[in-house]
Amino acid sequence: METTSTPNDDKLLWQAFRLGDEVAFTSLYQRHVRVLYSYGKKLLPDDDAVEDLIQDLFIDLWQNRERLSDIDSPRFYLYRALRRRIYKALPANHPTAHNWETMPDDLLPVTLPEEFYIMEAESTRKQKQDLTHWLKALPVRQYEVLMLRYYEDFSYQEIAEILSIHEQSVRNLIQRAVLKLRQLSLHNILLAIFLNFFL
Amino acid sequence: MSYADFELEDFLEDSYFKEWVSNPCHESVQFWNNFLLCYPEKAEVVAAAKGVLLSVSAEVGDGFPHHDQVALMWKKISYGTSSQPKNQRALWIRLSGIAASLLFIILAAGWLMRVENKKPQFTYTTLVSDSPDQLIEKQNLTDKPIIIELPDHSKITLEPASTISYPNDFMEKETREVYLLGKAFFQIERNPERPFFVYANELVTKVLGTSFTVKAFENDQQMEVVVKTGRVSVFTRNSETDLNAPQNETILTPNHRVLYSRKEEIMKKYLVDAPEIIVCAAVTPAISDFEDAPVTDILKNIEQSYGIAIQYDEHLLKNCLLTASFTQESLYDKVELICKGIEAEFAIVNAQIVITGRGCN
Repeated sequence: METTSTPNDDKLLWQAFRLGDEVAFTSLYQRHVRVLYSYGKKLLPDDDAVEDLIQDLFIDLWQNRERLSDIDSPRFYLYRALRRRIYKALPANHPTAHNWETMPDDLLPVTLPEEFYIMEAESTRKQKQDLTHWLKALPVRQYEVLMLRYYEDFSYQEIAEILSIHEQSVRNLIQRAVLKLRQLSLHNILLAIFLNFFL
Repeated sequence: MSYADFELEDFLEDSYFKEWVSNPCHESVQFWNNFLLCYPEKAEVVAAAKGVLLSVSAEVGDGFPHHDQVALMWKKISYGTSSQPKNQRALWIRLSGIAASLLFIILAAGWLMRVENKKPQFTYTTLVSDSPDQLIEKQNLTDKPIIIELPDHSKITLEPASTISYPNDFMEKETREVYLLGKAFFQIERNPERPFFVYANELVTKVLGTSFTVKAFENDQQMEVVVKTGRVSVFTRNSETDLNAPQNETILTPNHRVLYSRKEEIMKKYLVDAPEIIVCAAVTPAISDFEDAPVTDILKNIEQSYGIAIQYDEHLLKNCLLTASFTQESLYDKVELICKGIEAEFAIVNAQIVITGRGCN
């Protein structure tokens, strides 16, 4: 796992960056560019476009640094800013570009989950794969929320703000994703994963 | 609540647990081993929670950009930030232009060397010489496009310096097949019984009846397919590819084009430079009860109410009538039910549902 920066460092870096410290600016970029890119690519599966959006985001940050305020979580700021840019950049006929807030969130599976439902406990390697399949088969929004909550450790309130939806909707999305995992009654598989991880 | 009462969600929310999974230290390892010894019945759920966290983390890690990419992006940001005034920005653009051309030369050189090292398995030359059929070859040696009509009345506009071949017994074969070197625009006569294949190096374009352009010169790094009307399926082949059930197909619709990079062996879908307006229908309410309704109506309703594109052959399916009553089914369940009813199959290709069936009479 990526060594994550402590929030406190981030905050200090942000303060320095606002005063024109280029080293601090570089550090902010280096700390966050990988996860932002990985996140952005899930929402907009076009490498070049995501690259451009991240570059523009950082260029604009630097050029507007004097007008930026002091913030507690630069990481949160970056995620929210990138997500807004991505949704602005989505092609007009992209299903998420229209009414995506009101659309059922089962709309956009990342990949076809079929293999996942075939549950043969062959080897631990296969079972680990299955868990990955579950994750890949999740609708984009469910994955997004899981990632923000479990990987980035954002609070529900922060996630709600990043996605501009209600906090309750965030909780529902997470619940649905976890429920799906449970429904798959992964008993054997999970046991095998357990053996694999612990022994 | 103690850890003994924790469920999957609770573990996933617990920061001490998460810390142990992502960043185990001596103390936390001891704590959790001890916990599992005391509560062996929790082993499964702990394993599940751990598995979820690790796979999320692996998935995020999978999406990380390459080190060089991070550096390159930073370079572009630096150029963008090193100056505010406009004329300096122009300098940045000029510089990146020079950098881009240099990069292009390096890449091109690398590509040429690679070609020498590793001959591509499928080129026009190998395809034609490996073909079991006797072929008719047409070459355009003029400097203007020429039009070639195939025995099935499909038309091919062959660009200069391009070549096309097709079997002598074109009409007798189960599928219509042509081999292309270079660039051509195809207007294919509709015939769902006999799909039309264009083989261009390792790129295969499969259509039922539509018009599109294929560009594939033998030494080009990139190949391209652009759709004008209808739908085409594009995929790449290797020695194991089953041409009737390809693994990596991309479905193209008007306003879309696909670029295949031979070096990276990646196919990417793009919009054309000047897409025509596709009017987005206002979201229509889903109808839950259909009685003897044409399948095409049901699919259309699903398509609109879900805002997802569903690809199917309207001519084939319009005679299929279905009575269906939907309640809580998910989108996929609905589509699967419909497919069962008309003995069709569906697949999901690039965020679209593609239905293939023989139709009803």
